[in-house]
Amino acid sequence: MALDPLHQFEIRQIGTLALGQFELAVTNQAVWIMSSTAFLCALLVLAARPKALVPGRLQGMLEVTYGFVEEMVTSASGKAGMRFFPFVFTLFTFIAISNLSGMIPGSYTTTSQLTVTATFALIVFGMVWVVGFLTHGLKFLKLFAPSGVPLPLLFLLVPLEIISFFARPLTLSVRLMANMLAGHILLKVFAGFAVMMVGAMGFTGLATGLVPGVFLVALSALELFVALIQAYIFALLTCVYLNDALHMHH
Amino acid sequence: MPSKKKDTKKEPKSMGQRSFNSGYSVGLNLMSCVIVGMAIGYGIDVYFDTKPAFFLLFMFLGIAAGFRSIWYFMNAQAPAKPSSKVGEADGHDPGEGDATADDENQQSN
Repeated sequence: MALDPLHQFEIRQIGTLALGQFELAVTNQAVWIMSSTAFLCALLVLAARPKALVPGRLQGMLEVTYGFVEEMVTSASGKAGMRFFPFVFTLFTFIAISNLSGMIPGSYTTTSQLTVTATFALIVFGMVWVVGFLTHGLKFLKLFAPSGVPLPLLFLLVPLEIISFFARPLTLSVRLMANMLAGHILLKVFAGFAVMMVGAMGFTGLATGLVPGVFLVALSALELFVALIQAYIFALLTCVYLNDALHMHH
Repeated sequence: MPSKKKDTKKEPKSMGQRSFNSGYSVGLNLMSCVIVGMAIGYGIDVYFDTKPAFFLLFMFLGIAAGFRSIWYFMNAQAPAKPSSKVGEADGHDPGEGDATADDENQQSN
């Protein structure tokens, strides 16, 4: 069981939370989400508090992150997109922290669950609809009808547009989930190789077990990189989708 | 000089990683278009009690939508690269280099 690469994704009930007549199950997933939220809040509050002209380490990190997200938002959705900066910043930092907290040995990777990533993606998707209808009214539905297309072709193209539009939240959530899931399974498999070699071959296993061990170190570095790049891609695609809702270029 | 600085900033996203991501997103797009198409068709079928008809119709539409997104993706990749490199040497470089963003931008047109 210890070598089972899927064991780490198991959701276990840790305790129950009694709210009146309801009994809520507290799972390890809920605990990890809440603790990473608390950690993120504490980090941001601590980093933003000094307000020093010459930033210290923590404040410098926050300012770099702010600048990074700001550049991402303005490049993907223009100046008007800055209205959504708080949303995108929250999304980016929260996904990044969730992914990174999954790299702590023995921890639970919250973003490897489709329920979590699908929630993010559906929030983004719902927001695109709301923003689109608020800025364009019913004209937003013209998003599904490409202009300059003869009428008979529209009967074919409109369903295609609708399908690819509704495929967006699916792609968005599956991309993040699959990346985290695959990466962590790979890490566990390589760690299992190293342990099994030592277990099976004893002393010589210590030498041969080094090979997957070295790979494990490299993979851990790659996984850290993937954790950040996936948060970046998620936030960037959010900006791109919001840009579509803000400026419908046809 | 400023463009040089931007290049070094974007360095972590190497060529291999970028092509991996874009290839990955193409496959993902195709898959999810088919799944969404089938889901829509199945929903219509259950609602109107016309079991296999709309399911099949929308499955093929989903496949078509998936391949269309690949088509857009390829169009965004091939000819746009050299011309945009020349045209936008300064200005708004950051968003442009990313393959996934280009792909999604193109898709919505």
